[in-house]
Formats: sequence, C-alpha cells, structure tokens
Amino acid sequence: MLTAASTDGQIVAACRAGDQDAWRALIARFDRYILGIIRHGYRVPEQDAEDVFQEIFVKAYRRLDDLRSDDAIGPWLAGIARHTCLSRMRTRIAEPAEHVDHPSDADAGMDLVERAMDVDAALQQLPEACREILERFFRLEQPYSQIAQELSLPPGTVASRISRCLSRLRAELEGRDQPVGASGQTS
Amino acid sequence: MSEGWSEVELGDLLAVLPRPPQAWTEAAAAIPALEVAIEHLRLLGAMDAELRADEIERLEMALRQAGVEPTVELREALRRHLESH
Repeated sequence: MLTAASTDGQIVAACRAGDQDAWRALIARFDRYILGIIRHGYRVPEQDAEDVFQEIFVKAYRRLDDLRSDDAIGPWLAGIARHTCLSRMRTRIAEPAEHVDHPSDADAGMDLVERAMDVDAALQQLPEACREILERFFRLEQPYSQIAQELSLPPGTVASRISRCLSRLRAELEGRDQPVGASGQTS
Repeated sequence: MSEGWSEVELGDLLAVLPRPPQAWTEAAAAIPALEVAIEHLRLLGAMDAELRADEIERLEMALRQAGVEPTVELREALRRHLESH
C-alpha cells in the first residue's frame, strides 16, 4: 500500500509490477517537476507543452525497466524531459521564438526548477492548513477575498496567515542540511 | 545553501511549480491502459495477417488440387473477379 511517505523507489517498484495506482502516484509526485522543466527549463512554447508532457511520461513508462536505480527516478525523468524538450525545440528551430538558444539559459532554468522543487519538498512537510493557503495564494493566484471565503477565515487574517506559513516554510528549508531529490522524498 | 530565503523569493519559487491541468495528469495516468490496448491491437493485426496467409495458402491448395497452377497472373485475375462480385 503506497502512501505519501512511500519512497520514490517503492513507487517505481510498484509501477514495474503493473500497479496502476502506483503509476498515478508517480505522476502526482513528478508532474509539477516535469511541467517546471518544460516551462522554465526549456521554455517550450505553450502550444507544445501538453504534447511534450505526455511524451515524457509515455517514454518513461516504456523505458521503466531501463532505470538502474529506482530511487534515481527524479534525475532519470529529468533526463528524459531534457531530451524530449530539446527534440521538440529542434523541430521548431526554423521558427523565431521564445525557445532557449543557449545551454546556459537551460542551465539557469533548470537551477530555478531544482530550487523550486526544494521549496516544494519543504512545503510538503508543513501542516495541511499552511500548504493549502500557500498553494491557493501563490500557485492558484486566488485573491485574499476568495481564500477567506472558501476557507471560512476572517478576511483580515489571510495575509497574516500567509506570512506565518512562509516563515514556517523558511524555517523548514533552513533546517535542511542539503537539498533533497527532485520529488522531495529521500530513499 | 538554503539560508537567506526571503518571503518574496519563496513566493516566486512556489509559483514556479503549479499543478498541471487535471486533463493532462488524467491523460498521463491512462498511459498503462493505452499501452495495453495498443499491444492488443498489434497482436490482432499480426493474427489477422497470419489468418490471411493461411487462407491464401488454402485457396492455392484448392487450385492445385483442381489441376491449376496458381501463378501470379492467375491470382490477380481471380482477385479482380472476386472484387467485382
């Protein structure tokens, strides 16, 4: 039985055994990371982003048996994502675009994604109430009024709660000795 | 290395990784089932080709037993004849 605390290796092993719930868990664990690589690492044009996203997971599914260390699924997926993004960009090379022209651009983008994954891993360690309010404000871009209404909070407390949760997030990050893996799960 | 996180930086980094649209993740979750379906179709295609080859062999055998050599020309003529009926 897989849980949020299951390691990457446990999820991969279950995927390999044909467990479809494990495959869903794998996607849930890495979907943000893959999308981050697509959008920020390689700046794949938005109209191609969904195709590239699906292509990455199809390749991963078909090649899962090639993965040497199950706990290295994060970097392995990142490698597939990198090749898939570059391949897609090559097909668009004739189009003047927003795509990445220099490897250093991609490196900077990947660094941003890795830092964001570290923050996400720390976020997962916070209480549910903090996770939810930070998610709503920063990722779903909901205004204070909507957050207050949907979470049944007094309107004046949303900003202070966000600030408190950011402080907890910072404390969680500063309590870490080193960055964790792409999924935030250790082996 | 994780020292000195400002609230602004944390907010920006949180915003870097939104959840993909639900339709994307649902499509990705369906990949194993689709792969099974594709493999099934591939096997059916192979079986179909095998059945057709068996049927051709059976028909050619019938021609030979009737004393007719199934040459390429004859097979083409029979095919045209069958397709016109």
